[in-house]
Amino acid sequence: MRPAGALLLAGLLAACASEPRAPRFTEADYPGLLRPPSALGADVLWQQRVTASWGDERGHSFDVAVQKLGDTLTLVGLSPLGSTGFVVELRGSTISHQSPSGEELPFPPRFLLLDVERVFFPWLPEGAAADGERAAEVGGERVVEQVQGGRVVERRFTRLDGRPRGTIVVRYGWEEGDGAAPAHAELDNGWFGYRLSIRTLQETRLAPEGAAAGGAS
Amino acid sequence: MLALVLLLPALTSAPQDAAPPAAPPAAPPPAAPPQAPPAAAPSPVAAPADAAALFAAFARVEGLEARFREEKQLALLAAPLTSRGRLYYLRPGYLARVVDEPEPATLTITPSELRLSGREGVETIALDQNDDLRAFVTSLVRVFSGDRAALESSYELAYSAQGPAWDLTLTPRRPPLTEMLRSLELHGTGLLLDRIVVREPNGDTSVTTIEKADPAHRFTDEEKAALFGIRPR
Repeated sequence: MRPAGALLLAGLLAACASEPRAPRFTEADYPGLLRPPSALGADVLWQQRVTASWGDERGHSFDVAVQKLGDTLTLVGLSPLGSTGFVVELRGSTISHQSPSGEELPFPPRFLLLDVERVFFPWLPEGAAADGERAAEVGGERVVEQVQGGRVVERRFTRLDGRPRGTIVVRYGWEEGDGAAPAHAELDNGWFGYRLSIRTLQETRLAPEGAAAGGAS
Repeated sequence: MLALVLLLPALTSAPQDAAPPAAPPAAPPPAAPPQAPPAAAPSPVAAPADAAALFAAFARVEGLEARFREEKQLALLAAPLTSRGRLYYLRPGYLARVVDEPEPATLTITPSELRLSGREGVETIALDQNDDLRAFVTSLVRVFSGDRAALESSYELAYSAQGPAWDLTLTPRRPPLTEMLRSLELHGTGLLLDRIVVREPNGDTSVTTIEKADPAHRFTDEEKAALFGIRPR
């Protein structure tokens, strides 16, 4: 018998994937460069609420804790009752996945990591952070960023080989007092037709591994 | 029982096209004159003599409003996940956990359903559609209502007291509770509950500190509707 809370989260995720227009993914479907967690720079813990939706279908939300510490990126999906629904970890280049519910995610765990990195990791050299457009080719994709006030407000990923076709667009809503993550980010995956709306509820800067945690912003 | 309900952290979910949730009161309304049950009478000195006395006190609480702060320490995370909010209990079996920070959200348990509401909308889960969930939620309500006999069928109870301080530990006897919970600890002073610690099998721990409580809270019809979905007859 499985923990009820975990079952709830699994059900929510399954509901997302079982929407009539939601595609079923395999590992090979989602190309992209998975970068080492250390590329994020700061050690940080985010409490976030994610709403996933496909097409015009209704969205389903769940809470997640995203932690980058040293060279490890950890995603903990929380059930409606607060228990752990799933854990996806990237340690260096090694992915591990746990699901206390016993239910499989409706997509390979690497996809979650790819989306977290597309949204929250730096992709282009910061440079002078001049406002305007900047672009580069990274990992077989053309990455274009719009910068306003020194903050990235939009980021677009397009495959150079056109497979899949379309563009992944990430839009950022920064608010005063935001830290490393914006108050709101929206990923519109034009390759597969799903959207993720991510609200960062709380950010805690972490001290380097082996030291005590820092304060929250 | 307060315990797990206070610890039911971060809510999720809601269809974006769902109706907006009934807004819970932004702040606790003025308390009506309390019909102070023995359990509600603040007693900073005397701890209940035994578990039976403690549950008898719980069982006499008709309504409760409390403010809480929760820290959930997940074994995999370097810092706790924190939240603040309010808890409401209405006899015989209505519970609402209203989170104010970091993100407003409400979890409501009624005798027939679990309701999750937040900025994204409302999602309702019928308790008769999931045996595990119903068993879990039912146990919470039984503790809160002081149903010791029902609890002892699911938990081993250990009670100790020293001076005004008391501790009650509930340890699940069998699955599925053993898969959800290693132990549930309630710590109090006199007849008041101060702190709840939930230990999960994977090492995750939640500590809920009661910062302020009104154990003689009288709900208005408006509050009953907003918090629990109870419509006046």
